[in-house]
Amino acid sequence: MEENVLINGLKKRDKDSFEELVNLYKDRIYNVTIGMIQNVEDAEDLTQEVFVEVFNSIGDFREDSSLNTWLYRIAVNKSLELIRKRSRKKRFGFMTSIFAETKEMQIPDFEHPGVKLENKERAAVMFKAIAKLPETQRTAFTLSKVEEFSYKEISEIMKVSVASVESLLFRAKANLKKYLENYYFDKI
Amino acid sequence: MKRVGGGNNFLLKKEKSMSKNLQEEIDKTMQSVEGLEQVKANPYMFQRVHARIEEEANERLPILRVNYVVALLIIVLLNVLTLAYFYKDASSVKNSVKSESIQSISKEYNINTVYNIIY
Repeated sequence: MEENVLINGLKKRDKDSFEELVNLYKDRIYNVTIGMIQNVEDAEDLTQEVFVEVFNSIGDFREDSSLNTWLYRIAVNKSLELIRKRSRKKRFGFMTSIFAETKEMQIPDFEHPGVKLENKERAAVMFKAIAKLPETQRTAFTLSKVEEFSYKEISEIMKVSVASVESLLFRAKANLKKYLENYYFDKI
Repeated sequence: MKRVGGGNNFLLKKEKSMSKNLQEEIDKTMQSVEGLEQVKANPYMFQRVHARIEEEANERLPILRVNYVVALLIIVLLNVLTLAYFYKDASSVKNSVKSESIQSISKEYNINTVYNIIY
């Protein structure tokens, strides 16, 4: 189905159009959310939320970007909301235990289901490092290296220039290398 | 014997080798998240999304119903209060007209009444 036909069908709340949309995009959206939030179970739930949001707000879609871009933008924003919510919970939990034994806020190990077996251990270290990046660098790096979006696609999703995407990726790589240096220094 | 600085050279070589190993480890790890296989989403994703949309729509309905009932109650209450106010006003006007006519008759015939005493 052509994009404009699909959009018209969605705006008319046509069930077949909505089913077509979900079937077309579910795998990609699911993978984007897995990469961003680093949790498979939450990613399933979040993917559903993305499509519910699309259904509810299709009337507000002004077609100034492609349907593709709009969908991924919703997925990224919802992922970031969940990441921030988790951070707040962790901070609150840390504060309540401030008089008890001091605990560092731990990032749980994450095994991405799409990683090859021989890379599992390294990928777990890498995802831990990615989770420590600032939001914008994390988003740009995940979309580029993990999900293999082009710089142009990333710039449209994040609503920044291509130059900004390049800058974010450069800084993300520098930060990741710094983290990995510290991680591996003691091990070698 | 030309072993002066030999120990330093050895350390330098060891450092370089460690640095090379470290760099290799870092590069391998950086590449480990590239070219991931795409994970398949739940095949029943549409059914789940559809069920969720219907559930949310049903949750919204009772709240709307409550709002309508509350609005209706407020309207009825306002009408009752308005009617009660006008009824009270009307009876107080009626009472004052009655007392005025009794007073005028009693004055004319010089009869003492409760109204004369009061007024």
